Amino acid sequence: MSRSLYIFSGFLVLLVVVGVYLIRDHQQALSEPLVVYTEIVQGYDSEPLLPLPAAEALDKDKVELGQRLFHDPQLSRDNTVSCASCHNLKAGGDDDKPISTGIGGAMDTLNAPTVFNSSFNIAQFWDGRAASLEEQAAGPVHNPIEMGSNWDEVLAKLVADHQYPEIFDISYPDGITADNIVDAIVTFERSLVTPDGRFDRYLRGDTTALNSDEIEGYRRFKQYGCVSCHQGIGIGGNMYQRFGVVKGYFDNRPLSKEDLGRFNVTGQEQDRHVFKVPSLRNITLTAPYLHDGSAQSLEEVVQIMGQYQLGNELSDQDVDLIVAFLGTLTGRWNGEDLQ
Amino acid sequence: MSHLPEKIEVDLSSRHLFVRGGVIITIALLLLTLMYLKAEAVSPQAHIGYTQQLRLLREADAKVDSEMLAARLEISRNYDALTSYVNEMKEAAQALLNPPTFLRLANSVQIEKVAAELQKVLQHKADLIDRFKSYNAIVRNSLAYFQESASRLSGVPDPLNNQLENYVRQALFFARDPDPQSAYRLHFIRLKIESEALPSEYQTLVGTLFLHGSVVEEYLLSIDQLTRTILGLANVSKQATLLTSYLITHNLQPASKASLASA
Repeated sequence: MSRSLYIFSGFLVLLVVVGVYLIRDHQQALSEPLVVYTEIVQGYDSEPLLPLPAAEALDKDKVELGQRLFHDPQLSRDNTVSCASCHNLKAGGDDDKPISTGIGGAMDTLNAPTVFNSSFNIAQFWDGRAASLEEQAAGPVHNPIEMGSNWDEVLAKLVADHQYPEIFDISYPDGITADNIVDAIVTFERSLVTPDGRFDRYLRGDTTALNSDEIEGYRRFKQYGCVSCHQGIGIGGNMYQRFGVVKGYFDNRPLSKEDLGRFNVTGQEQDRHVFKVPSLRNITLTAPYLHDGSAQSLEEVVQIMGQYQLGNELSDQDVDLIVAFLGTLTGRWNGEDLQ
Repeated sequence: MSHLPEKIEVDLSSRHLFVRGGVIITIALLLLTLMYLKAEAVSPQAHIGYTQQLRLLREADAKVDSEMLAARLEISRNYDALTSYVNEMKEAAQALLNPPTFLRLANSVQIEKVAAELQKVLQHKADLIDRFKSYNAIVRNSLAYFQESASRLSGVPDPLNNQLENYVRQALFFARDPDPQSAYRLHFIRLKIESEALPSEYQTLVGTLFLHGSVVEEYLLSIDQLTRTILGLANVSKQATLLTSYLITHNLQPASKASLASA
């Protein structure tokens, strides 16, 4: 009888040990503190524009592979067009054309946006139809006007390449796949951040980084309301806005499908002529401007914005000062000023 | 047998007890082992991971509301935080579409359905937040221009000056407390002034004032309504439904009972 009692007691101890083990993780989860509201309160900032942070820490091998893919025309059907064809990193991250050209000289329908700092955008493309860089990256490969290819064709080329299989194996155990191609390109694109421009240094307290005209331009940029939409670290890129807020920009103009903007994505009337507000980072390097590339100079586009978005006929002096300020938004990449 | 010595009877009785005890212990051991194995089938990590996603979603959702109101009140002057919180919210909602694999198939399907309904509401919320940002930027801009134009009215002669000052007062009242009646009154005053011939030297100034006044009229009611709509969406109740549904299905798992019993 007493032996049974001993054994039973042993079981009780065992039960307690097992029970403690099983509920331990639950207890840990329940005891984690909630952290939210202090962060929000501390996050408020009286300055609408903020300095651009450095690129996040990224896998170096993936960045290198992504860079190689980004410049590789094998991603296009006829091996003539790469991502860099329209997003030239030596020319502000876009091309200098109003409308880009794809395979066989086919004309695209919109002005190519810069790829620099694109990871900070709310979405990709002028109409925001790609929610992420990952969604965007596959688009041009399949677009019949741009690269006109498909993953089967691209994979066949890369697998047959004498270098890619080995390079992919370094970063991706499953080798060359469409997902891995996209991941590598996107990782490279996330590295395309251009901090430490003169304006960033000014925001961080270096008052000598801007001259008096540029500072006055910044003041007017805020005073005239440009900053209502062009704000945050990207100085734009984090919201959508109607083109023609106070005056119909598209009135009495021949309309194209692309002019409908986000309406093409949502089908909602409120989104007619609504576009992603572009980032103004490196803006002096990315002419021509607007979704259709119809504005040749910054002076022209600043006038248009004043007239149609702000309801303010800006004087020549206003325009010159604001353009001077915009010139300070050119950043640095790979240790050099963007050209 | 009735004449067997007493000692032998005692020995037999204790042997029976020992055998019986052994059988009971063996059965108990087998039961415990089975319960333990079943408990192991319910991955605590997967359970904790899912409940953490639920908590992350609740936090992100609350941050979105808070940041939207901060933007509305001009405490927050850029949309980076709001954009980031909306992304967090969408990512958490996406993760909740995949409940832990230890759930029974029928339960899992049920949870996926509730999570999909929640995601739909949150996507709608994200779309409305996009519209909020757009409208809020427009109103903020036009209010600034409106006040700047109003400050330059001092040189305008009466009775135009009186009419314009009345318009400005009504507009600022409307900006503080927008309601359809005030909007109508404002609109009526503006039309009345516009119907009268304006001296040419004040046409630009009054034109700017009215341009931005009409933008405020148009968008302020919309943004007010939009804010109420966003805050009144069913996201909170849907989150509660998902949490309750998940906890019920989790507790219905035989393994969960085993886990509880063993605990």
